[in-house]
Amino acid sequence: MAETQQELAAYELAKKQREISIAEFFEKNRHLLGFDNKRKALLTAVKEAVDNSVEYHEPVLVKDKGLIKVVKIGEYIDRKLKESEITEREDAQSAKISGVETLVYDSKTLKLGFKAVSSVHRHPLRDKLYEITIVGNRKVKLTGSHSIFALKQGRVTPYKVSELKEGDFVVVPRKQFRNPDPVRFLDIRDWAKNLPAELRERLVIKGVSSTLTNIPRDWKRFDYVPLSYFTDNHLALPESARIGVKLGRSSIPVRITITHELMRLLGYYAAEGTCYDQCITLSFGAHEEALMQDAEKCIKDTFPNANFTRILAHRTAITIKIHSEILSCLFKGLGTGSRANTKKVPTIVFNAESDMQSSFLQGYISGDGHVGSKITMATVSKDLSTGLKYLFSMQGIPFSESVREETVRDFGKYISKCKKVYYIYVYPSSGRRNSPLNWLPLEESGFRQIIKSLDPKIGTLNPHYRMISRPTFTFESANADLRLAQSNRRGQITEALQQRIEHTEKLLAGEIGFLQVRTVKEATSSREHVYDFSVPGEEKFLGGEGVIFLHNSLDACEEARILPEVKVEIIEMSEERYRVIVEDNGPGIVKEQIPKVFAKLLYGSKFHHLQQKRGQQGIGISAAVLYSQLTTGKPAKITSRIGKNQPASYYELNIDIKANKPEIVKQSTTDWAKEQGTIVELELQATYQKGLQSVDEYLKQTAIINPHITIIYTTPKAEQIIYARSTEELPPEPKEIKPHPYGVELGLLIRMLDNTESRTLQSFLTSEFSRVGPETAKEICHNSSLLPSTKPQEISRQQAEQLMNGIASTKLIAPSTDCLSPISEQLIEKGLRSVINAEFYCSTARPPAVYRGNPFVISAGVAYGGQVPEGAVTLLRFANRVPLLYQQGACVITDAIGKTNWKQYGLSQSQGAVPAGPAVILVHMASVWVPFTSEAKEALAHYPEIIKEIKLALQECGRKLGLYINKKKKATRQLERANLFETYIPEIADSLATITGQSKEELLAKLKTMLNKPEIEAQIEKQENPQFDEKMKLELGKEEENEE
Amino acid sequence: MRNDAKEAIVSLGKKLAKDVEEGKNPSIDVTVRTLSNVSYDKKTKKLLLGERKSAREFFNLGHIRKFVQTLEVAKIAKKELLDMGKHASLRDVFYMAKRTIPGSKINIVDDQTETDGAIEDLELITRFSREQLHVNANKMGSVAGKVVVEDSGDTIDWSRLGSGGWSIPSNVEAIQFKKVSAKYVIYMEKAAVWERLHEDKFWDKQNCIILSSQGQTTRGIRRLLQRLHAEHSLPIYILADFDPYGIYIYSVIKSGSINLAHMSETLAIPSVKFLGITGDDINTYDLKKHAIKLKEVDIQRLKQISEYEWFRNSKPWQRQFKLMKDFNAKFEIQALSSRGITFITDRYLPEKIGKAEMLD
Repeated sequence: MAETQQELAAYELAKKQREISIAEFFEKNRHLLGFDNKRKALLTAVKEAVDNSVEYHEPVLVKDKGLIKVVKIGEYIDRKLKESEITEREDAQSAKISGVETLVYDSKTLKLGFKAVSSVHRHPLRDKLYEITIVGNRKVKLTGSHSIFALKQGRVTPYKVSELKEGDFVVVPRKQFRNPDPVRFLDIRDWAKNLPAELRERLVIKGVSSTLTNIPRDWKRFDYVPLSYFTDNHLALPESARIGVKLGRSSIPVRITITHELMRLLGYYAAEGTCYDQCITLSFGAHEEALMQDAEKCIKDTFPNANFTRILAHRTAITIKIHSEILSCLFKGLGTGSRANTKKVPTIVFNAESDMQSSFLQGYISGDGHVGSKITMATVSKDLSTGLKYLFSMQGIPFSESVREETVRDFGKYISKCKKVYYIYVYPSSGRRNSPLNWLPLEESGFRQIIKSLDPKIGTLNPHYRMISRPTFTFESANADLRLAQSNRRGQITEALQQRIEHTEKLLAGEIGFLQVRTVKEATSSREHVYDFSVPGEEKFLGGEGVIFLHNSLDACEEARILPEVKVEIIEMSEERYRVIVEDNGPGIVKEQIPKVFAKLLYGSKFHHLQQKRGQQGIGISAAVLYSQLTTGKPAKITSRIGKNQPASYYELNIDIKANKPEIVKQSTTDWAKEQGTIVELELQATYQKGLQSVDEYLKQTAIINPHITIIYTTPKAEQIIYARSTEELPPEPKEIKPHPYGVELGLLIRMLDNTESRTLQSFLTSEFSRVGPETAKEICHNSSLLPSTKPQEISRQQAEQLMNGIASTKLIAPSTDCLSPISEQLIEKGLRSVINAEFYCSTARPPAVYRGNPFVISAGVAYGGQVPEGAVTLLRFANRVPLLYQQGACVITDAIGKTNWKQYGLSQSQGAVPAGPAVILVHMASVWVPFTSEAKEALAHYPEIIKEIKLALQECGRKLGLYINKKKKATRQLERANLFETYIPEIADSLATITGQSKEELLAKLKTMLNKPEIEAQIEKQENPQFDEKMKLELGKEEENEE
Repeated sequence: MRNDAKEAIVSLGKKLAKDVEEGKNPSIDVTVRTLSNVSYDKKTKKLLLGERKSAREFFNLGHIRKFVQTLEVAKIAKKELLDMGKHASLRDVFYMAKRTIPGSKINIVDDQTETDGAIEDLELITRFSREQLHVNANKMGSVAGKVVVEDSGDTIDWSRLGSGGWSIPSNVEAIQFKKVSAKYVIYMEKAAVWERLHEDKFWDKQNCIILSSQGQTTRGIRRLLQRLHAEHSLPIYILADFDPYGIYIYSVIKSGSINLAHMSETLAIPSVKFLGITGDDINTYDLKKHAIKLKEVDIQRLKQISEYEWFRNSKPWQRQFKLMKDFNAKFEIQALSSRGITFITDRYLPEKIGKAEMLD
């Protein structure tokens, strides 16, 4: 029975293959992969590195080994890839990294904080590159499929760059970010390593030689010890030691406390300084005496031993020159940049305490800033301007920017060349309230809605609420208004409203702000690669010249818990010939089983197990392999790995059609970066099409009903569609139960009889079925006119039929329902939300019910409005989490929807038909035995119990939908009425003025005052439809004189 | 004349401005133009408009749109047409009024029926006809026959205008008949039939006037027919399809329409006769095989028409309606062509007119 043992093992394995292993995925695709026609669905694996990425030069904020830096993403990731072990997938590279964090905001609290980056990615630019410009002229370059966070309908969610529109609000840091563990000292060990080697070799430690033994005599004699001596021997540096340059005269402490003076000095340097090998200079205007005195004070306080002089450079300029080679080294080590065009904000500034950062900015602005109603800063160094922007962002200071391109002006006698200048503007603290950064978008945040729900009269009649006429509102006054509106509120606040209020309060208390997108333009890159970070958990990072929160790639397997991810890729080889690659991260398939699973038809039948499964028979994948073999002659290529301790197995397989046996063309072990999963690659003849019965639709619907799965799909047109999971909650694993006798059909019964190990019919019945005890078994035998002692294997077909009848006439207890894995209301809603862009969602899940002895659970959901198209409602039908795309008309779900009266819920519907309106209706049936109308498994059969349950579920959804639609209609009507008079008043005033020659303004004013009359207000609040006097007009055919 | 129309508009404006001045809801009295305010006058055999008026208010959700439209049209008529001495077509007026109110999604008018209605209302309010308000319909329709007229200083002989005939202007008030030697007028629903008769020189042979329009009978044509009848006592015969719509055309020319009941005085011609084709013609000329099955709407219309006051008590007409119902079919005039292309000229019309086989 070795074979049987193996089969059982395979089954055990299949059982573990939760949800969506390749085998099952294909199995269920059988009806798409119809073998009779070429309209075919094709599936696939997608490149590991996803195409959503950021351009090389874009800055990002990272905290690398505890140090905050602003780096160019491309440069940074290139370096990380060089240092790390690279995973290569086609033309993309990834590497896991540690010790790197990036600034994110917490999705729940909206507060700023650091979060670990788990890996970095690089791949060639395949997608279009876009440059997004937001308010303040802040910019970022991203690929079209990269997402960026935007505020819409009160929620902050990622939107694809290609879908981003002008006027959308994207997320940026708003509040000051306080570094929890700021750096307080400059330490030689931190800055010296940034120096070029030849310079580093010249650094010496002074004042320690006497404490050391076994060192060259010269060192003692001249009191110097090369720094390398300490670093090479891992010796601790005494804090009192000083550092200098070999043969140099000046020295500085190895550990320098970060003070306001030091920061101001660095600021002055960033504005005015130049760093030479032997000295540092700061250039001031001759009139800037106060500034020079302060600069000199800073030098003296920080480096008491430093020697500096003032030099009159020319009539209007004075240079302060600090004669210190070691100080020049220090500045180089801090990364201040040496010349005007290479200046940077030293890394140390980002890591200092917030008020130290202010001092740096203060120094910089007094040196380089022009203070007017705004403070203008100009620099020719792009890096410096980037650094300053990040610094302002960390300080919570709103800024805007502009660039003046390089200009050449010809004055005849001479030519003046102006370098490219980067301008940054900030408001002085008094003006910051007016900055858009402090404005709350009223509409997008849902704030206006809430205020209106709290007090519906607001804005139409009550002039107190001026806010209503403005598109945005400051966070501060929003807070006040929310409180005011809450206190004005008469009557109960509904739970839903309360939730929205709380949500808004969170938004107001959060540390992020929203700036409007000005333009989204296609852009170019001088680099062939684009880059991305993975930040598990938050999936975002702060980046771009514009300092914006960016959404990172979806990288699921990083987490300890494996969430299913399926990649499907279809490649067009030639017309009617496609390669399909499907990759999952499921548990993989044991090596020995691979040939049988993929190249033996009807292998692994599961007939004696009853458990809700996505697939129910083992024909699918091998049939696909067969189809591929018959149409193209190419073997199927399988790679599978079951765990990190096992290598991945690779097979090329054909089916020996005569013997129904696998034929192994090639077999090997191979390297695969993934710890577990399966890749199937097939080449077959097919046609690709879009529409309701396409692979595209199938995957979309699969994503809706399986919100815990991420699906990455690359179409034959090389478009990539990503359905990111919207929940990390895995569905409960269904429990296995034995079949209930009522649910068994004849063929199955015969197979069970053949395969059982029971010796008698009675024990067969008790051991193979649930809810059958010895007494019941005897009763069944009696009702079937069969002896309980009959050997199961000897039962003929006719006797099996007798047995069926016997079962039917015996009363049995209904099966238990814990063998089901229905999907919850919340998950249906999440699934709909993640894929369908509507304005209202509702869902419901029914308690378990039973038909013909089979337990089942119906769930339903509705998405309404938004971008859902008008016309007949779209139906999404599912059985055990598998979309049903064909034979909609024959399905019980369609029938039940038609039999539900949708008119009362606000949709239009003709008798018994599918309703019409901008809605999507979803129905899911979970059952261990789904009653398909045919083997094709495309439609569910009509059982009264099922119709009843579906109708009940739909009615429940319908009531919620109806409430929403009614409320919406009522609100629109009232608003329209209120506006109607106001809108028409100027028209009527104009007409009357033109006819009579009277003053338009007077008429206008008079008419407006009439608006407040009580009888006119009453008109606005009137509930019924307006009565038109035309109503009685009898339609006597066409109007007589309706000339064109 | 022009000044009077202008005066009427200005006084309407002043009345409304006064309402505003006094803080009253501005309102216009408009004679109700619905079936309930239209009655069939048995004596004159015309549809006449009653006296019932309704107030149209500005601050009234049900009225506001029409109110604004009426005033808009009044403004256009005064400022753009009367003041400037220009004429515009109905379509022109529609486009002059059509615009979106700034800062809203509301259009003053969305389609032409709205301006057309507003103009009709303005006629009622000011008691001046559309033409007097300088609004014309489009030219539509042709005429030929032994008639000489003078129009805008030109002398036109309707018998010498080639294959196209004379195209009837929308305003026929200014036309003067110089010489009318024709004996009767045939008005036909179909331009194609007119072309047939014209090519066959039917009007010459029979010494009559043939007149047609494209589908609907415009006011201008009705007025022209009415003048030919009133000023030259010519009998008017209608040649239309044997279907509810053809009969409706006849009915409008004869008694007037609800919509234009206020114009019935100058438009309706109670003595007009229905020449054909009739239910009897179908049998006489063996046209049954050209039946077009009645649709649901046709049956509805037939029922409505058969209940018109002026048809209700007419036995001959009720007989025709019954015939149509029994055929359960309608017939086009062109069905006669099955008997030969000139059958209508050579035999049908001479026979019908000769025997005076007409419905009243």
